[in-house]
Amino acid sequence: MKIRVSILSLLTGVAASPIVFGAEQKTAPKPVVVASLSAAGSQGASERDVLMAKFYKVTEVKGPPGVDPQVGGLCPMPDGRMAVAFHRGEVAFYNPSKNEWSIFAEGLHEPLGLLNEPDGSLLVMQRPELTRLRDSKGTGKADTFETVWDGFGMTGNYHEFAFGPLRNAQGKLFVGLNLASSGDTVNEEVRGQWLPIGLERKEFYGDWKKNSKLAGRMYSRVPWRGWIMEVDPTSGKAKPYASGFRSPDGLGLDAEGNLVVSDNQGDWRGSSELHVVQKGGFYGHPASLPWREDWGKQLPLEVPLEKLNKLRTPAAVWFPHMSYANSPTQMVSIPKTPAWGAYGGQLLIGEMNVPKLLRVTTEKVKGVWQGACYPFIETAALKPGLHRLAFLGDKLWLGRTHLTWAGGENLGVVEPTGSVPLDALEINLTKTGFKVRFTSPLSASCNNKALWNIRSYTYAYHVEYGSPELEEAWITPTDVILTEDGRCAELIIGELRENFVYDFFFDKLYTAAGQTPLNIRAAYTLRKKF
Amino acid sequence: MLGLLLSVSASTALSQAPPPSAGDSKVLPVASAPKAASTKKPRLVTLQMAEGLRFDPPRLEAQPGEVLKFELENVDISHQPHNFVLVKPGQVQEVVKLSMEMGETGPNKGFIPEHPSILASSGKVVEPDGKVSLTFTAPMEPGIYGYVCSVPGHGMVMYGALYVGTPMPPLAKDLNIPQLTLEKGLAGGGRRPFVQRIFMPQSGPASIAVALPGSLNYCFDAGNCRVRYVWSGPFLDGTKHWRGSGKDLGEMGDQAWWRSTASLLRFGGGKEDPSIETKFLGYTLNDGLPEFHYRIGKQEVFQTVIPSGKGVEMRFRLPQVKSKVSVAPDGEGLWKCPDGVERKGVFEVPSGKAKGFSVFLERKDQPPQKEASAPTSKNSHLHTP
Repeated sequence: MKIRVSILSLLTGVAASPIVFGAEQKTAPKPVVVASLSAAGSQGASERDVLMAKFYKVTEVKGPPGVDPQVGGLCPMPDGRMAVAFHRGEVAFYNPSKNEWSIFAEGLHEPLGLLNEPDGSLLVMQRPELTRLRDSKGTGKADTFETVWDGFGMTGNYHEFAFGPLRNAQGKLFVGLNLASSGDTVNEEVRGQWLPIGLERKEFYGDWKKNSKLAGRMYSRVPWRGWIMEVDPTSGKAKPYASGFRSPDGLGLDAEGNLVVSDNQGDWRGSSELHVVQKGGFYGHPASLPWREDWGKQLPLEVPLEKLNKLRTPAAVWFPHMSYANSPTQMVSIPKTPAWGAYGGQLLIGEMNVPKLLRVTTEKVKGVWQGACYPFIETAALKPGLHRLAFLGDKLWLGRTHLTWAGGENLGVVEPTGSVPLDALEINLTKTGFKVRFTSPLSASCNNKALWNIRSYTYAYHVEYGSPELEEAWITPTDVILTEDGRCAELIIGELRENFVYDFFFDKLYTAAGQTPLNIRAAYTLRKKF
Repeated sequence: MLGLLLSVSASTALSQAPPPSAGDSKVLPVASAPKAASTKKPRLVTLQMAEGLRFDPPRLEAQPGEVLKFELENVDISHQPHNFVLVKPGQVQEVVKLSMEMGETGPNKGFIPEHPSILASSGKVVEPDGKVSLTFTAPMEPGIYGYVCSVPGHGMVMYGALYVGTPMPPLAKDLNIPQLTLEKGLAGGGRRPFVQRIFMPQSGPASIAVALPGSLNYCFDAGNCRVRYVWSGPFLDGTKHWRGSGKDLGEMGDQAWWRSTASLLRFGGGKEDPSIETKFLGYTLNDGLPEFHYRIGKQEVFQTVIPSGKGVEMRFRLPQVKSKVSVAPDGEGLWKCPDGVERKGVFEVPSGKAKGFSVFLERKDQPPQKEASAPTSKNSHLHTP
């Protein structure tokens, strides 16, 4: 059992930065590298993978022949097929019962999202527009490519990706528009109104190595870059919904129907984040601000930090960089079915750099959204590049991509085997600390507070790329109270710090039968105390 | 047992071997490769780590016991660090898995795990724009030895194969190298007609390239709703755009022979109103040929382009038109509009015929040598007529 624990501690330690496992880890469970174990054991899967396989079965689906198998969009169809959008512009249906692909459309420009409509058509978000694909002649191929909305700017900058669409319960669509990157300039011809605030247009065609530093690391010089937009699918009319985004690759709905958006670590993003997005909100990256109606002529980079802090809503959940996620992707709600058991209704999110899926829970404390992320399924079988997620019944489909970054290709399918692991199911804030619920009852002796270790730290909100973990402190609860059924532990913590991550280590816990947690960490982002 | 001679050193020396050109999927020549181990000067081989998680070339050949000097060059314009690990046959994914399990020791060891299947490695990551040279002796045992970048998240995609004393299968059937590397990004794979949305040179960012039946192609700009140019010959190579970050443009098979400067159609008088708004509405495919749908001001327009003689026919449908339409020829070309009457260089299509009419554009001069001209390499500097 002990050995297993130390191997499992590796789960969250893949490519971990020295910051995470720095010098001050007196009580930290030291991550153990299993490379030597695997090397000794030759070909076989690592012990972690063997263990994960007890709970989750992962199978592989190859993309259609001749198609670049990088997945930009997934959409489960009512007839049991999966619609998949690929990097070079194909949309294809996969029929799992026949193991057959059929190409539905081709020639789109970097499609990054798919959504079916009640009338059988498919919406696809491609670089230049939101498009409705229709098979009007019943040939099995799209013959109508209707532009639903193209009222946003494009400069030709490679980083201006377009994500979505997501449909909420009211039938409104949401799309996310990336900022441009100073890794490149803009084309001579752009679409949309050029924003006069900022580096002069002519400087974009000068010495870019020099001028790029003045443009802002990420910039928004054509409309709605860095915004989440609300689109009416019938009229094609769009309204700005929320601003302050950098690279909102993941748009999802939580179980209550709230819009959640993920964003990637970078400038103004100390670590990767999940936002619960409300209309009119500003979520931290200032490049998008000049497109607000009430904005004057102020350069976004010259807005004082105090003003930005007043305007912004901080992320509900931080994904601690490296230890939890490098580039989190799309969120989907876990189905409330027996197969997924107690996880039903929680959010699942993918990750690009390592083969890992995380869960997310959120709660509102005194009107402020906050919550936790939990490593969930981590096995080499998933492969990296977990960009798009979709449930087809109880099966979780994974679409991989990489572009020019770390990642993978083709598709994976995950099914629970029926065995239930010991996992921390949900962490909630209490007046005196935290309450942690588990999937199985803990042993009564887990009320020993020495078994519980929590590390807290925060991230800076600043123009620089990413942030180190700051003001780190190790915490041992002053008291631990287990409920009678052993499924819930109340941890009494002395002083709670707002705007800090509480990074829980569960590696010393066990059930009465000696089962140890499958995942040994979870990170709660505390924004507001009771 | 394998007679391995390994030395890794940072090097700034340029390779003597001809570097493989980007996107060249051919294999480096193995001319005068010795038949067995020797103390001869090592053969120089340049292996690039390129954008889109690729080794270029994706496969190499060597004789058993041949001494090779690899020049590993990280030319990835997306500035990713990469490494190089050469392994025994069938061991690539095992090494990738081990590299992902290195935990916090990974960065210090260049994400190169310790494993008996590893025959040679770069020893560390090769930083962007960096070079590492590596000399080693090919194993005496013939086989297909894999090489891989084991930086986390790279190894599932970024690998290749060293064929030692083993014949190589045809490139397209080689399962030991990633398929993506094989696929040159010819839009539509040469099929005609074909529609491909992609960044195009000298057009707006919302461009649509169309391959017509035969050998003509055109670029439609969905931003300002007009055909921007027409070219003959091969359609479009999107390799750089699709393999790279996406900033590269699609490459046309030849220069454009006609370019527009404004919309062809004028309503209510014949003068172009620059403030008039255009709105792109999409397209339908009829046997693969697109009919574009857009509005100029309040006027709804459907437009199909089809090959015709030495040029193209632009078919317009304006189902709601109530007045005459003017067609203003533009750019270099011979224009005809059988449904219109020419007045001062502008065709006037009467309201009775404006619901459906055609405009014919013929290539003005077509010197025979043009047909044989090589594809342009720098489309962003295309000659404008």
